[in-house]
Amino acid sequence: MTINQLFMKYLKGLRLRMASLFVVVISYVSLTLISPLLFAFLIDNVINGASIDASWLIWYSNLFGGVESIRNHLWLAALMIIGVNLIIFVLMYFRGHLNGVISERFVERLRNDLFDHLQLMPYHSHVNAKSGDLIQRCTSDVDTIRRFLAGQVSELVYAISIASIAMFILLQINLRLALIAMITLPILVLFAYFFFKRMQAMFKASDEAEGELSTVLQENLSGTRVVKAFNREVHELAKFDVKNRNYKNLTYKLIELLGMYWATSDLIVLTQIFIVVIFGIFAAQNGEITVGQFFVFLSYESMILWPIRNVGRILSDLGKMLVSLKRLNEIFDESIEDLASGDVVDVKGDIVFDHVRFQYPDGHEPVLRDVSFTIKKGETVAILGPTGSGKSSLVHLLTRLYEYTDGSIQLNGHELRTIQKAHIRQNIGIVLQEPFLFSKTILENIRVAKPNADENEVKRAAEMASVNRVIHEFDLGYRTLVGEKGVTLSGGQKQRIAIARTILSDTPILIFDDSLSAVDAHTDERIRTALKDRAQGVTTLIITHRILSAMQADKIIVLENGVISQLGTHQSLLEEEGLYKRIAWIQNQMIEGGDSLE
Amino acid sequence: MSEHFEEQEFNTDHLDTHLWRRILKHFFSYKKDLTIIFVSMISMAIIDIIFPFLNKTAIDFFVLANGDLKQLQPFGIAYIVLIILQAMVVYVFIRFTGKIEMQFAYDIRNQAFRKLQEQSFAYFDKTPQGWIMARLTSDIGRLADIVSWSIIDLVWGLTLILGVSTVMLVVNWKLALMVLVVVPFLAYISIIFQKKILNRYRLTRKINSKITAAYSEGILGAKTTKTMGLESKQSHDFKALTQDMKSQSVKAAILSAAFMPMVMGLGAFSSAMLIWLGGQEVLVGTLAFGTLVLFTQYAAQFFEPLRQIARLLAEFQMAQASAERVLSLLNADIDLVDRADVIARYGSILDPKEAEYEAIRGDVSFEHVDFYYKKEEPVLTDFSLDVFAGQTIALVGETGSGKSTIVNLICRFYEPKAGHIKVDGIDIQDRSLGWLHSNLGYVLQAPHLFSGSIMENIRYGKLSATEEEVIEAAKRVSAHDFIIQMEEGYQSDVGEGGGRLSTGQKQLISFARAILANPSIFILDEASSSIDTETEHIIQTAIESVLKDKTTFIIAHRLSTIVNADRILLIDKGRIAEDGTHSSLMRLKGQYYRLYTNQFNEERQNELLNIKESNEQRQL
Repeated sequence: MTINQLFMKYLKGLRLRMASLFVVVISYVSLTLISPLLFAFLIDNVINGASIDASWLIWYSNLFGGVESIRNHLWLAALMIIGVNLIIFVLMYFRGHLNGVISERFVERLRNDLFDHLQLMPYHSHVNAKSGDLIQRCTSDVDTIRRFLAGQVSELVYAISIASIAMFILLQINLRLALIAMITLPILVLFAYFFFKRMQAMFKASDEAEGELSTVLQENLSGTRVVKAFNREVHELAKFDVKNRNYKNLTYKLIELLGMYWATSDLIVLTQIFIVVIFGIFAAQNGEITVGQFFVFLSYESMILWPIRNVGRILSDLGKMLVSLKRLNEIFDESIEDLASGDVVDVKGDIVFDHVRFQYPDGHEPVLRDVSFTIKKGETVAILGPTGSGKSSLVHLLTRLYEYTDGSIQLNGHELRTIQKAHIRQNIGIVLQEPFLFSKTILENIRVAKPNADENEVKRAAEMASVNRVIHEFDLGYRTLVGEKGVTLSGGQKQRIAIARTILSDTPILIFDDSLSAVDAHTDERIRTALKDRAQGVTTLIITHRILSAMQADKIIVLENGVISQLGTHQSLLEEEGLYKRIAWIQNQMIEGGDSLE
Repeated sequence: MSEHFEEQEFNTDHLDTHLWRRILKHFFSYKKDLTIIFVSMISMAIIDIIFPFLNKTAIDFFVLANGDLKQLQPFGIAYIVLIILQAMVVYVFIRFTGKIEMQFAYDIRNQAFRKLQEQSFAYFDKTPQGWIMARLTSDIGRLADIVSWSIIDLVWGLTLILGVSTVMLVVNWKLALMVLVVVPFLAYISIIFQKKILNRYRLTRKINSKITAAYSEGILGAKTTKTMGLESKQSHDFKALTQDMKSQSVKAAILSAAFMPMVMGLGAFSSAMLIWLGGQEVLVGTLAFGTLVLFTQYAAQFFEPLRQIARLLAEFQMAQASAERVLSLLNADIDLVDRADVIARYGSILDPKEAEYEAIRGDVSFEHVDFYYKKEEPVLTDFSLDVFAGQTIALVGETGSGKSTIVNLICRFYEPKAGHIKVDGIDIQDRSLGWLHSNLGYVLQAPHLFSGSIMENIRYGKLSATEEEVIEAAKRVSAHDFIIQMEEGYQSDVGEGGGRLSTGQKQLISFARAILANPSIFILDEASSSIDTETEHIIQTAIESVLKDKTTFIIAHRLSTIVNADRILLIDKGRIAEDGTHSSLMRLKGQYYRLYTNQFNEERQNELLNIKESNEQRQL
């Protein structure tokens, strides 16, 4: 998608409003320009008694019974002013209204699509994602676009149309004086444009200096122990002072330059007005223009100049908006997962791996090679192996977070690749090694995948995950907020809440990806027993380092370097030489009660 | 920690005059610059008043009366002078206001930072870092912005209004009243609207921060969302947020869109009155035509500053919350501070008299010390301990047993609730914090380095150290080899928080930093966990050679590193449960024996399973 297409996509459905905005702004401009003409007419022809030469003015004044009549009833003049202004204000209101509606609707859809796109980006993208940068794009870049749409679009239309209409009218009144009245306009626009372009570097320098200031502050705060223990408070103060001073000076320079800009553009604008005044005086004395026309020239001149001064700035903002659009487009260019296509089949819990080979998209070597095993519905299977042996990859394949490179995986005889992703994930509950809890209440977190679960169900799940008691100890119980604004949970508590939320969904297949690592052996056992009692018929895969967790499994798979090195039951594996036996022996040496050492 | 921190809710419904007076008092200390600003502002207001006069002259004298064109020269010169003056005044005004803004922010920031350096350790335990960061960056920034530009705008607006009113009243009081009659209505409408707009604005900001949080969760929690198939639910929840945002923002936009026309409508009303009533006077000849034109221009000029003032008052209310939070930081009590007589003798933290510091031999003793963080959960009760200079003491125990607290008390990060802690027989409260800290060496488990070069980081231990001394310190902990292998050697940048170095490297550097300080008392807080065996061995050797004659406290999880300690204290629930050397404690077959055996086995298992890092490391 090009930036242009992206922009147009979100403008869809807003085009009529955009067109209305243009009409409103141009009408507004026309009336703003008529207002001084009316003033001139009232002052010149009505009050000062000058003769009327333009035919439309005669027609206009005849509407009110001729100039004489207006002069005798000056309240009519007052009504005219109020009338014109009333329309202007209505238009002004609509301009603000449309600005708000257009920009807000535009970004609402943009935000939603960004969010959905991020959600649907494949697992692999999220492993490598720079979250800070993504958030920055979704918030501040979107805001840049919003601000441009909310203000600058109509400003630009306003500036261009007021300048052109005013110029047109001035040209009608007096060609020579009109040209003189516009002589500095190009300078003004170019000056503003190049000025703000150049300023961007300085804005950046000031931002960076602020960033450095924050870093020093942040490092000081997180290093309080070091600072105090080394008695370096004075040194830190000096360090902070340097950054603080640097930020101050850079920003001050920036403001100084802005002052330069406003002063210079004031100079240009006022000089232009002065030129008009002087030439206007000559023209009036020569009889080229009337007093009223002189007045019109003066009023229009300010009406043209101040908005035109803005055009350069708007153009530089337009540039910034285009950059933001480009940055968002980069997100949209990332591929997304297709959750919906594929077959919806009956997943009962039978799993077959047949000579499965897997290599990460950006990897050099296969992570899993020639992996074959069969799991029957209702079996519990433990997977053991050193770090990096491919245990997690194996379960990632099963949920189609990654696609296997070779071989075959089947769920109840159906080739995994042909099954709909959403369906697979609804039927396989997986508790990740480092589960993420949302900043909602504990209750909401547990029933996140099953929102209609009642509180008793939630409590039963929590009970099974051995976390019910912990939750009750919090002041607000299940209503306790998780995260920054609520409680900080320990790794083990998080894992257990994640287990509760996964088992609540009653999936036919359950996977624990080393997700009991942070709880002690007793809790681990309690949770496993509870699961076994409840979930008869549920296929369970447990990735673990604990022999205690593995020994009761129906089947134990030992993975080493991406290959199944051992496969059997606790008893059979204890009888053969290998990793399992060695670990079992060591764990056997552990002394009861010493487990709680960190 | 953050759950214990309760943010004070600040009431922002009314302007707090007491608060603003204090802020303004500080603000008005920049007398010189302020004078320049006010002079330039008054000039600006005067120029704004004179320009319509000049245009009136052009119409009345040159155009209407066909005045002598010879007069055009002085007129033109006056005009040009005024233009130049205007440009100069604008520049001076912006420049000096910017200067004051930045100076104000700078001063308050330095004051706040100074305060933070003096704050006790407990303050940082209960105050979230993010809160402090926000106060020192955005709040101070906003406050400076408001007090400088807004106060100055306010003065400008008032001056202009007063000036225009005066001139109008003097020139023609009847016409002047026609313009002024709308002011009370305008004031009323403005205040009502600005309040409403402001409230809406706050609401949208609140929703906006929710949207940011939702993005952050959406990205950080994407894996969970995926595996649980929550995409559509998440998307649905998010849409509710953005929809709310849209409707609130549109409402805010509509309010603002309605406000401006109302203000300007009042302006048009006065213009109409002027034309009607003023025009009649012109027709009967009681009013000069130019005067009428002048008044129509003034009427237009009059409303802009009025609208500004209404906006400014609203902004002041908004900034008040920032002001209050900043002041609450500046005024926070420091709960751990040296006694007045101690400060008199040894100086304060930020103004120490280092010449007065006595040398330390290194005896440390606890005498009947009670300590707790929360009253209902005592950590140490009647705790006593005597350590002789030069001894190496290892503290072992579970999390929460009190071993870190013992170290915190030795460092005087906290003070005992009862009892005394003595160094060389002197109560540490009889000496200054600076005295104690300048004699301490401290190495942390998660070593904290500062952005900058390796050289600078090691030198942190002794600011006056020469390059040779730094290298010597690095050599003693065997850090020299890896440092010179780096591209820029000692000048290599360690990155933010030392991010470019491995944990082991950071530990060696923080060790070198502590050695360079040449302290009498050394504290190694869990210093040797989570590094590979080789580095551990290096550190082990360093501990033995470097710290031979220093009093050393080691908190280590890896028990193998403390086998050679002179004394191992097993701390359990705030008491010394076991006390002895490694071999005597192993013979005892108590808690230490159990810990040691299990850990030994766990290490062997981890070797088999290839697990290099501890759990804590993985979570980082």
